[in-house]
Amino acid sequence: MLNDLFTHLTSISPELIKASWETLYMTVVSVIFASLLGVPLGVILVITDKGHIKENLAVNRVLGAIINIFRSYPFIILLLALVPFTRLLVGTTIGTTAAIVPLTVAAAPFVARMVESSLKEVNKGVIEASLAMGASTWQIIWKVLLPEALPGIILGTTITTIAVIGYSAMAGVVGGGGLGDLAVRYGYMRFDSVVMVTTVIILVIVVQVIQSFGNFLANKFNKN
Amino acid sequence: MLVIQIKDLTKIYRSGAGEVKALDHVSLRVRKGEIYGIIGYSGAGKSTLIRCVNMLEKPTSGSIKVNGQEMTSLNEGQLRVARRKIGMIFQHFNLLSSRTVFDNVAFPLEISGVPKAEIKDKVTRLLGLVGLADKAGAYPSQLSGGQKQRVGIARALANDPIVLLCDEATSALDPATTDSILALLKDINRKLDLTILMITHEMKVISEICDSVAVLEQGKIIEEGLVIDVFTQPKHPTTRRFVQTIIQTDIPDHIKKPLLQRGQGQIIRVSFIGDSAAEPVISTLVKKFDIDINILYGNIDQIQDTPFGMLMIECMGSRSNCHRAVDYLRQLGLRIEVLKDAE
Repeated sequence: MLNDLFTHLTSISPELIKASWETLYMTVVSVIFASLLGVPLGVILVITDKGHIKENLAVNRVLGAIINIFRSYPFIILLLALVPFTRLLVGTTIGTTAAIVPLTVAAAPFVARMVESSLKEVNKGVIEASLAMGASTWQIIWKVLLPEALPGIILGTTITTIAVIGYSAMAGVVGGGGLGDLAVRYGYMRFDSVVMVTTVIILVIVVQVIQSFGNFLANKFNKN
Repeated sequence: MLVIQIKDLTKIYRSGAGEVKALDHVSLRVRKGEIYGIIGYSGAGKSTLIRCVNMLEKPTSGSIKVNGQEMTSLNEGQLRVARRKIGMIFQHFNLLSSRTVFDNVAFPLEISGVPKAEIKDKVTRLLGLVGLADKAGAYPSQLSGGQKQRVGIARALANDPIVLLCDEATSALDPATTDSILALLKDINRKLDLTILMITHEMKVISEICDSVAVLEQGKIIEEGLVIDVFTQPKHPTTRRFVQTIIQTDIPDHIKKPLLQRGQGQIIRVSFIGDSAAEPVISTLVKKFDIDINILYGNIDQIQDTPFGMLMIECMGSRSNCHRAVDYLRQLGLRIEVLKDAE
């Protein structure tokens, strides 16, 4: 019995390793791109808000509305709706790299809102003090807002990363592979509960490790 | 020389409901090297006033000159440069929690583009000046309130400001810490000949370190002058209320009433300021005018280095002698108030 299980696991281990790498690849690259998009958006959301250093309510409302629209799409629909855009961007609509486009588009507004809420926690008095010292808008963003909010941004990125791992399970729809796809193909379609359980165990471990690492980093940077 | 010159400054906040006049034609002048205090109850407009000096609040109308430069006409870039020469400290310190004490003081220098090596020298010197040389590597959360304000002061001095603005700088501190921060400010004022403009709601702060004071009420300056004058002769009722929070300028009613009813002679109140407080006035009166003097009540106080006090005395003798005695006191330059004439 145990022997059978071991043989079975050995036989699918190449697939498991490949799927794990695909999940990791999709998640890491998507989170990086989503942060590159989402952090500036979050910063703009905050500084254009009422009473902030670059108050501009028109920009603020429009940007907020666009972000809300993207956030209200269920990921599976976004994945399909973005097919033409993906083709334009990466030249193909299937495969792991193609899955990164919708994952990024789904995660970026998420990051933007996370960054927004972290930056809003920054003490208004500190911003006032920086203005009084003659700091420019850029200096306030780079030297005050982002460093002061760093622990919150790290925790937000952790949550985003875990959400992206969840989304990436749907990447199989466009042939993106990954652990979720493996679980669907073997575990669900072929009733192979060993594969199903194994992928779940791997995902649980990955999520735990990411969350712990995120907490560790956030604590390290939290000087309060 | 005038460091700050404010003329007809008016600030109106407009909201959906209507408008609030936070400042109403405020004018004041702060001379080089002086500590100028603005006192008022909360909502009087103090905060708005001090924030107009470095344009954190944009005035609705009026003129603000700092070191001769008109602040209201500067563009954004010019304003940033001008602000570097106006230090500011805050009630809640407003330090960057993610930076060490050293890096907090270095912050304004980084902003002005000062080279690294120079920053290190300067910050080390400033931390020495405020007595925090051993805390350079600490984070603000590891400091007490008084230490945080010292960091705030060092930070405000980093760019060698021409004026230091203090926004309720001691209001969040306990009395002992307040005294040490006030002593530090006075020390800096003397050592660096630094002009200080401060707002506060505590008369104690004014009496301990300020040279001049303005009383702000409902956006208007209702009284202004040298601290010693305002304290000894407050004119406006609000000023009197402030002065009485720390010194007794009036005789309490429960003491005054029975004395006035009981006494038979002429009862007068004599106020002394400065040197006259040390003169042997009473014995002179007795010898010169052949009257008896009964001291009913008295106190003496000190504002910074000037002693001042008040005596309530009863003159007993002939009516004309008593009157001559009062005239004599007036000639000496003392402030006399006759509470009850001789019978």
